[in-house]
Amino acid sequence: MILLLAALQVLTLLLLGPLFSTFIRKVHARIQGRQGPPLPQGHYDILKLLRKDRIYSVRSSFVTRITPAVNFAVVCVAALMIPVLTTTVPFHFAGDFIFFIYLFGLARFLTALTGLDAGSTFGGMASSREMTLSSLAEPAILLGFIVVSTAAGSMDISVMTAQLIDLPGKYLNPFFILTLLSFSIVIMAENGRVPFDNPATHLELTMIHEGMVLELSGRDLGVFQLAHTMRLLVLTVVALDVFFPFGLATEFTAYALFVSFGALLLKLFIAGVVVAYVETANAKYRLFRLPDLLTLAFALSLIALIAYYATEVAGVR
Amino acid sequence: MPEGTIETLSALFITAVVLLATAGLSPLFFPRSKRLAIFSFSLGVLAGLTLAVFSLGALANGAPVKFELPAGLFPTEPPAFLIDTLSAFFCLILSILLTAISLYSVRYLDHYDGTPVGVLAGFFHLIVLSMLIVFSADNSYQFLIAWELMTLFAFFLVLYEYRKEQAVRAAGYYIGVSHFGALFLIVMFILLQKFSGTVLFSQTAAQLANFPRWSLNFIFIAALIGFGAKAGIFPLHVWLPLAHPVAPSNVSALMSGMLIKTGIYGLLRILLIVHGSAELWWGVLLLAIASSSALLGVMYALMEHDLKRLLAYHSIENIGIILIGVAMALIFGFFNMPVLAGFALTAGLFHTLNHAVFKALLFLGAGGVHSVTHTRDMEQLGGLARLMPWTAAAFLIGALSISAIPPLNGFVSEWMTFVSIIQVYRIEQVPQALRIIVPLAGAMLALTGALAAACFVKVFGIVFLGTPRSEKALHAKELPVSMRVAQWLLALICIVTGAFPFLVINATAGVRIAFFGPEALIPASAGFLSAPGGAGTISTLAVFGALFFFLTVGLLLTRAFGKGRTSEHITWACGGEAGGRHQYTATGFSKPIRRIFSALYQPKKQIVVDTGDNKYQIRSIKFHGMTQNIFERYLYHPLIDGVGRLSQKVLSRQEGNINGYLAYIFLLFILMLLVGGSR
Repeated sequence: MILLLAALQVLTLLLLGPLFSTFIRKVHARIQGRQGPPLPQGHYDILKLLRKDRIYSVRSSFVTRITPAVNFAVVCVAALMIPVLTTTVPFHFAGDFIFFIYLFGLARFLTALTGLDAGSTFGGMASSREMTLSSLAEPAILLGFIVVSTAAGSMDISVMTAQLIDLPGKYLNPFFILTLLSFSIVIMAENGRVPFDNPATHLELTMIHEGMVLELSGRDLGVFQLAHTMRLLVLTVVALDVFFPFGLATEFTAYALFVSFGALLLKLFIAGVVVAYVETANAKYRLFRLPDLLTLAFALSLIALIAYYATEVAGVR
Repeated sequence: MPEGTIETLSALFITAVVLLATAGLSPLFFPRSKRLAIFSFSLGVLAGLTLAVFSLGALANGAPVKFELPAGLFPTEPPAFLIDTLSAFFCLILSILLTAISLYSVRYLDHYDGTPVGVLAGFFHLIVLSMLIVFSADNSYQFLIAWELMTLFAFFLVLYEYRKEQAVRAAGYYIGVSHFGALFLIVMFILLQKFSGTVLFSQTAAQLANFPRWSLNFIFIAALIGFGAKAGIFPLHVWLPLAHPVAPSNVSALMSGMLIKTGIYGLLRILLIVHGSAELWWGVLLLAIASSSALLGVMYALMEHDLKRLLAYHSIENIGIILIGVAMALIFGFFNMPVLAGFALTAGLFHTLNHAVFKALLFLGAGGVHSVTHTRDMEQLGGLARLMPWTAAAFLIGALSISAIPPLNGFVSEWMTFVSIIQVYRIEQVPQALRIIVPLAGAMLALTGALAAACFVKVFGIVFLGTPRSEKALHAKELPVSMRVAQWLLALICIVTGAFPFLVINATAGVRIAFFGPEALIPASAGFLSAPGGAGTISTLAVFGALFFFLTVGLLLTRAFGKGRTSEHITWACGGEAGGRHQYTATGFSKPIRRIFSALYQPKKQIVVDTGDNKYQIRSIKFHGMTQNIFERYLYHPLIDGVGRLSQKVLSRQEGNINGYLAYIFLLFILMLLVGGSR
């Protein structure tokens, strides 16, 4: 049963991952008055890449060769640790929220190394920026997580979700809204979205995430792209689980799963539209303005923590 | 327990001591004999294995192993050896490092051909021997003597390349800070003896009721300064990044891996005695010092491009992480929550083991790189992964571990530390301020971990990946088999303790019970590790399995569609040919961080443009960038200047008259008797 659920969860995210990214591009295009790509375009691109030749630099080591698969493995394991369709999590015994966050560190570490592996100039630049920005994002996300797990009384993601479903008046509670804002900023940073990085750009000097994998090609790039789209989806889904947990199936029936799948699509639709609007309304920030934004996320988390205890003292909760 | 077990264990311990004494003393008589040095290190491997068997036995046994030397031989109480679980755990760590580093050293000696290698081998083992006595001493005199000998032997090896000015300066700082710390330790031991009436640690705790309040606080502060100076906490850390890099790399591995842990051991030994009467501010103060050590350690590490000094700064960081666990244990202990306190303490102990293992691994790797390229400057290295793949892969495992990347061991201990921090909300009577301060320490720890990852991406990426940046790195070759085996032994321990954390959890059970009583249990079975109260569970083993499964799927995905070929080409460099100098440098890599935290680093740059006769024609541009070490600048330099001025003044009291000096000594003696004499 667990294995079935695990397979279902990974497959759902595998299929929805490229779709979600394409959907955001499509909304972008619509806002700008363009037609945009057809929705399965993400899948087409990845399938095309998976059939292509790959070229390695003569300088590159084993790191470049394993990075795409490691990225893929990390995001699949992370996908097993979160509630997607049901409140039951197939891998809940294996990792809590901290493990979930740190797991992405493994993928990031190897991806950043890949940037330095071929000995080109651009890769190192991107690695350096990526590691700097992710370092600054870490305190914000951890502190935000401390607030949420304190409120839920657990660090287990499925327990957190279940506890927060029942938390009355949460959308009026300042700590909840502040953490949501903080998490949103961090998710945009972690996935290299505007204003942190422009996923559509191909100007080497400005890019961060794309810059590290400049030397990946063909099938390797295909696997990496797949993992990359899944990562955006997994992080979005975990935020939705924590902050908007309604619709998740509590039992394992076809009807409940159908409803929760519909709810997931609806939530992702709204999330995608929001992301696209935020990205359209903002320009990419200058590199050294980004720390301000991440400091803001940290400050929001900190205020959320103070607000949490303040409301407790005031007896509001 | 059967009587025979204790006897066997004692015999093993004495065997290890004898082996170490032989390995330590024999090469000193023939310092130029390389054969004897090799023999000495072989004995070291043997002693390490014996000690490992002993420590595992003592841990499994649980009951303390003790024996005394016959009274009459000594003017005071005879040396007493008592190895409880706390001692045994540190002996276990020591045994792992001794085995691996000695094995590594056998061939590493080639790097020091023509120098008195016997001195290196001899003092190396004498350091280990004195550490062993420190860990097993029950008598405070014996502890102090072994402690001082340990400092002194290490001082000799820091000075091994005494012709280098750097080494002399480092050794000066080292001995200065060590003795500053030792001063506090002596006062602390005097107080302990004065109020308890015994010099034996094992009997001091029972007399705790006789200690006045101020003395307990003083003992805690003195232990913090005295042992902190050895461990390298901020702001007593300055000697560490100077002294560790100049010593030979096998000694650096021992110093960073183990020597600084004697500070942790000492602090725990004293806390074991006095923690029952701890005050809340002890834990809070320690937490503040620990989190700032961790953060500042990694911040300074990021700015280094001397490979070994960078690693030395990371030791400061990791000592901080260890002490965060200890601080949380004190806080939970104060509120009488044994389960959480035990969990936090275990986080610290686990990280002590982890740091010893991966830091030794990284230093052995760095030493290997140094021995084949003759440089520690990262800006001259590059591309070593293709030339020395085994060393590179082992180094990568160490780098991932120290960056707390799951599912390796560094992650597990850092997870436990985080869990301890988060659980602070469970304390009901806790002051509100602590509920904010402790999570802030958690945020600092998160920043520390992430910056450590950034730093090790830099280290591994610049040193091992890309292409050589200088001629020196071009001709590197893989290390001899025994050196590789030593590194992989440590790398495997990183993997195994990561996948099976229960091994360490169970090994430290005795320490938890000694501190917080039998309630301090941690549920850990083969694959799982749970936070207290079921707040969360992790299973690194399951994640290992799942990662391997999906890694295979990912690799299969690259073969599943069509028959794409794989080929190799040179790196695209916009039409030109990319040389070593086109790559990002270590300095460039940390530039964004230098700029963001410029308030701390106070970076300065100097640009000299040589235009010669024609000011429109630039011949050369020289760039020199540097960062300030604000602690050395604003704390140590004024201090050293002050001491210099003071000694100038004291000079007028130096009559050169022996009666005068005797009078000084007599006065000091009277003073000590007044302060420390027993009641």
